[in-house]
Amino acid sequence: MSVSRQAGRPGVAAVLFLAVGFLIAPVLLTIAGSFATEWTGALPSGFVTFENWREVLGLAETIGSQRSMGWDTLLSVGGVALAVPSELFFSVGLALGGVLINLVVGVPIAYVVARYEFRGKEWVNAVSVLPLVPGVILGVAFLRAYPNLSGTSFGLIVGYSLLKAPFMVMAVRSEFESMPLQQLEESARSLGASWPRTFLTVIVPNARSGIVAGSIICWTLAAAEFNFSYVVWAKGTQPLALFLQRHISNSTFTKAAAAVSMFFCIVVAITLLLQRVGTHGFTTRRT
Amino acid sequence: MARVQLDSIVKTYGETTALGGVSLTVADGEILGVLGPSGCGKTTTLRTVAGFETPDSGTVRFGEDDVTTLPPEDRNVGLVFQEYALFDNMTVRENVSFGLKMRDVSGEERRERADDLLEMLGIGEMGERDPTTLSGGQQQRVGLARALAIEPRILLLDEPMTGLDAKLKARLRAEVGDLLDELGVTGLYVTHDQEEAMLMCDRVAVMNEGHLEQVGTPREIYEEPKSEFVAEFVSLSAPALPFVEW
Repeated sequence: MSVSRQAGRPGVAAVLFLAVGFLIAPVLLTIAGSFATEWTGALPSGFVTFENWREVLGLAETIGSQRSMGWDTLLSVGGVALAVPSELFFSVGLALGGVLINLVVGVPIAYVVARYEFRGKEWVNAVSVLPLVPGVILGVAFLRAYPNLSGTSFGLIVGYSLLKAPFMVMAVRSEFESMPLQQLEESARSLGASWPRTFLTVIVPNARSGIVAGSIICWTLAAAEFNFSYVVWAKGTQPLALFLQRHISNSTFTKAAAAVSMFFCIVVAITLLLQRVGTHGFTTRRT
Repeated sequence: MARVQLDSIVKTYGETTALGGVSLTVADGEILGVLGPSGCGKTTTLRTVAGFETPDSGTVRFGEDDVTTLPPEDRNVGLVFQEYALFDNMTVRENVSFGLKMRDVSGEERRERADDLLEMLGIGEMGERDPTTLSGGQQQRVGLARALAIEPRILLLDEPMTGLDAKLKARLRAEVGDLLDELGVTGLYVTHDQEEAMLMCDRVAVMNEGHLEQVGTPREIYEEPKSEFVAEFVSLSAPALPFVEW
């Protein structure tokens, strides 16, 4: 009895450390490898070089830079140009566009399903989760149904939003279901708020944690969605997943490591950004 | 505040009759308890007064005004729920002044009135707090302040103390009862707790299966129950009643 109590907590902690370590180790190794010149054995060697990053970011004058994300001059002051990786921004934006559509469509669906009892509710619920099919299947079906959207950025955005909508609906719906939705709504109405105002200033902000979580999941999955991108994308700026794939399949190990690390950095940055917008954009509370 | 009158309200959901011709008057400045087992129609009655249910037939009057078809946001009623239903995206003060904001009251006046109410309810120092960090009793006080801030024509309380522990309940009952009396609030107090209805309300309406069984003062209800249902339902709480001798 007392033995199990003594061993219990350190045991759980040890398992946790092991699991986290096991998951984090490849990420750390990859980031380290991106600064190495060589990675032929188990561990990278020949530190420290920034050449891999320079090539991936398209800053080096090599053949590899052709595959990178065209730098455009944003601002030019006295001969010193401030350039931004415009294609990278564009790729990030493709996935964000999908999230935006998910917000506009997914939040109201989640609300209706959580709030009301109506005939066909289960049906709506099922349809909103239906796009959980593999991206390659949706991609082919998508091209058949909307040939005009083939290869366009708009097509990619719409496709991402379709593919990832279930995650938004599920995250936001469970948030709505965990709060006294009807009472919140009726309180606001009785205090004199119209229904649209109630929805926008009370219901949506009260569900912010679910909305932020849904946005992060949707963005991350959309940015990494390879299959759909591969089927639908034709030319022009590459979606992030394709950019990543090219760097991994045609490059040295160390350069692939740099590309993966960069992707990882973007994911972290966008996650933090969404979280920040989510908590500060919704609340009027000064904490 | 004004007299509130329900006249032969009928409400059905498909085959089920929720209210079968309920007529009820809440006098100006009176707290009327609506007491009954769950499913008796007491919450439907409250929601009809608030405007969230439109009766199939019958009228709802506030004073001289027929409000039967008026939407909830135009009725000027205060609602207090068992679940508190505070807006977590706002501070305590913003919660209380929400109704005033909807009425375009200036920021300074809103703040003043909200702070006055919070003071009155004994949580004057909590205006800046996040409502989720408050205890159940404190949250319910915020809910009450929020409903009172708009100076409602009628205050509707839906099982406001059901989630609280017995000791806190007793204290709130006394405090809130005094405050409502002092403010001269007209109120409808829905509860399934006989003791609470008897202690908080000027008169009590006992409901069963969509009908009124009896309306009267707590003493009348207890001493001269008009039906077996009333006698049985009310006697369950007898030990706690102060005017009962054993």
